[in-house]
Amino acid sequence: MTTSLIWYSQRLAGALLLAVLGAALIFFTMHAAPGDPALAALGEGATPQAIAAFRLRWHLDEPVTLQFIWWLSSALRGQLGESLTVASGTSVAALIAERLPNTIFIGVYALILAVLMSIAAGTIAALKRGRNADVIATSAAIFGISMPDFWLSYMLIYVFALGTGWFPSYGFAQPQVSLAAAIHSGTLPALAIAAPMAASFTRILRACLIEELQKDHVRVARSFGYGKFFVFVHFVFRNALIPYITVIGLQVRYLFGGTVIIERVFGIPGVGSLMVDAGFARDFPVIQACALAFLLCVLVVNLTVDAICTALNPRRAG
Amino acid sequence: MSGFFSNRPACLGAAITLVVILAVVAGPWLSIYSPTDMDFLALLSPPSWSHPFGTDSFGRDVLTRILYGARVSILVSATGVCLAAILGTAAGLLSANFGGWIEAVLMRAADLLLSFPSFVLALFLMVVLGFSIASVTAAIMLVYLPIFARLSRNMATLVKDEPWVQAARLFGQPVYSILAREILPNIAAPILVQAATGIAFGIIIEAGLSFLGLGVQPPNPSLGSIMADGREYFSRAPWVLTMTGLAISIALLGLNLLGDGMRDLMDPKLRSRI
Amino acid sequence: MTADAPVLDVAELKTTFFNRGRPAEVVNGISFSVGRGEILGLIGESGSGKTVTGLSILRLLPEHAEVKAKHIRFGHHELAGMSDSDFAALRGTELAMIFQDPVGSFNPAKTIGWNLRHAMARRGARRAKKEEVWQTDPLHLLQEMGIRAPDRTIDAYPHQLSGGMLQRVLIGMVLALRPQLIVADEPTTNLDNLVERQILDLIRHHQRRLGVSVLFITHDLTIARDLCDRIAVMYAGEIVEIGPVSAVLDDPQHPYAVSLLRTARSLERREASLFELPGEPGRDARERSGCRFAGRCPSVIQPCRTEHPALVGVSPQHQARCLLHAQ
Repeated sequence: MTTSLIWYSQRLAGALLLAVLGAALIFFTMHAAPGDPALAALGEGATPQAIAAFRLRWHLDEPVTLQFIWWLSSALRGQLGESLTVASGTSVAALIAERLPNTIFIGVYALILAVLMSIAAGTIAALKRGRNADVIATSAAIFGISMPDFWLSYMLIYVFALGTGWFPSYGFAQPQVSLAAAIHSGTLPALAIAAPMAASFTRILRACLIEELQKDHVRVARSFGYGKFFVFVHFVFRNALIPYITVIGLQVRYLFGGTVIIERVFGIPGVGSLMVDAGFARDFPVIQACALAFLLCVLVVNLTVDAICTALNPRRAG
Repeated sequence: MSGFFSNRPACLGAAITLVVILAVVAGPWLSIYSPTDMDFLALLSPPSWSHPFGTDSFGRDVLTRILYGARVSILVSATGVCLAAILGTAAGLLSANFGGWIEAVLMRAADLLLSFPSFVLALFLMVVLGFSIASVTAAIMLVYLPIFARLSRNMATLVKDEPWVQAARLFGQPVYSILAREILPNIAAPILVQAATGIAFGIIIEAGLSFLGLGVQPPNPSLGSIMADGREYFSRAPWVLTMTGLAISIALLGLNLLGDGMRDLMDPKLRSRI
Repeated sequence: MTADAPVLDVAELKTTFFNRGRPAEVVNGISFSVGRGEILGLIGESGSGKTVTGLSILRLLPEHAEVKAKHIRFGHHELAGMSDSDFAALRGTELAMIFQDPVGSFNPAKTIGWNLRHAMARRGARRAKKEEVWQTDPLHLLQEMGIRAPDRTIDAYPHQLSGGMLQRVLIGMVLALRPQLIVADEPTTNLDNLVERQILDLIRHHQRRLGVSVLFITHDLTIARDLCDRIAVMYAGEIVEIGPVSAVLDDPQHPYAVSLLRTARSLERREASLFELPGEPGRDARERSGCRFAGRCPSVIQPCRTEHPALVGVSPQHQARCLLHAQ
């Protein structure tokens, strides 16, 4: 048991290191951007005293490295500065805290949809390999990874929102307010994000299943006369899960990237749309914080996927 | 090579890609419209014989605008991905060959870049670099740099222990020559496949950025900005956005099929699940 | 051996693989039978079709393979033409197989205990009167198969055990099913010599106690001599000699069997220049119109190249497919 504890703490330490390095990368890159934060916040007509006071307050005259250390230590205490332009004066941390649950909700919803769709399509494609069902599934999959996700969202809106009216075409009910409403209003956005991911996952699962189906132990299981469904679940699917989850774990970061545009399309108040607004308004503290938030999300997901794979793989566990 | 032609989806992909390249290169010359010609008598008209993809709110022919916009998108994505391929492969080869701290540093750096969602990274860079064609290209390049670095390093690590490479070393062939002449040709194939799929996704990234208004700015045409326009009047005139997206999807379908076909050619020498 | 009807009676088994629509015949109409409690050895080089024969009987070939036979009588059942669902009921209960590679034969994600329990559950409610403890209890089974620390083994994963131990477990699982016939496909080829001896002893011991019939596929004549009651020699998809093991190995009639024996003896005696039959079976052996061995046969005569020999009896039990013995 202790070996896995050591292993987990190593992975955690690695993730923390990446988090700090990532934060540094964000900060120093942002610092290289043109534009004066003081002017951006206070406007062109600000007095020199106001600007000086602003610069003092936010340590803008200190050496860059010190600024970074100051920023990082405040961040660890939950202080991420104040928004310059998007929501002047509002604590960035508060902004993110308010929007992060929405982004995570949509992201998780999309991930679940993508996994479920890919399991269904990938299984059918692998079992009926070469036949019509496989051709349809594989073609749909390759089309799925070819289309821009925001285009798909408009197609979905046209058919299911404007057309049949089953789903809203804009707006989002927050999950804290009403879970059912959140699921309802979140379906089209989640589908739009999920579709290209599902397409990619399907191809991966199909390949993993086909490889597993050719292994000896599957044939041995059949020679024992175990039922087909039993053999598929315990011998084929169970062993294909490990490479499948490993690879989709690498792709989950595209999930978060997808939320950025889709949140804008559907008007969902999440971290993605915040980042876009901040990008236009050149609100540096907000942009930094959003980038950091996404980085942390990806790192958390990577750790989770790692943990799941280790638990599933007897060679690595224990 | 004959194996390629018997692979029908791959041939379809090659054909589509060829048509797209021809259309994008020759189309703007052959088109009777210019992307800025406004026909006030045909504002927002649905697809017809005179306007196969319809017109937008200014009466501009959508197909022509797509062809011009595609030039920019393809150029940006291809340049970004190719630069990433060159620099990334160089980094990967150096890592594989020298190992030690060079490999550790380069691969950690790649991991770091890969810990950001691609689109977030691209968006972030756009804010820092300003919105222009060059910055979108740079953003796409940075998104793909770590991918090529990891790929080439993994492949090169497999190849460098092969007998002919060791023989070259024993014969005293200089390191850079070994890298270029022995290792590189053997890893070129998976890199090309990754480049094909990379250009496809790069176009999606570019379109997304300009759709949001954070990429290529008007008056430069761009697929994303055409779709952004189309969004304004989507319920009344869905064809602008729809046809543009459809055109992108089909073009990328061709590219992806081609990439798949190239990968199947190399199977089972290369086992890649993505 | 006994006057009873054979456990397995195969007539004209023919297996064809289809590669992109083009047929490639692997087993060409072979016939043999396995008596009750008997071990029939199926000898041949790789490519002779011996493994495919075993897989054909158990219907474990991939989809692009086609199996045809005049009849495959197994106890009361007629296997040829039986539906897949009816056949599936026989697999694991009456018919079982031991495979060559023990390491790859286990589900890597499950413990040995899990694998064992499910095999035993397959036996299910069919309790025979003479059932022994080790056939119903996993720990006893491991002990019976000569595994020293059964309680640790049962919770172990396949990758933690050696090939020899895994093969013991596999054999135990198959024996616990109490099938009427076991097809053993080179079960010791991947093991080293000492372990091989032990495994063969294990198989022989339990086969005698339980009286189960075995179709033992191997390329090793020494094993055949030690273990089998009768043997059939295969070449290029055909049985070229079949008979009691002492008869075939002491007095081989078919030139191929003769050369096999010479090679084996040459190896045993560590002769300075090993006897070796020139050439290889090759794919065109199967397409030839005459005797398939004609291209390499040291005793070949002119009719061999055009006339395909039938199996003729040298003595009532001993047959060979060679024109030199046809009267």
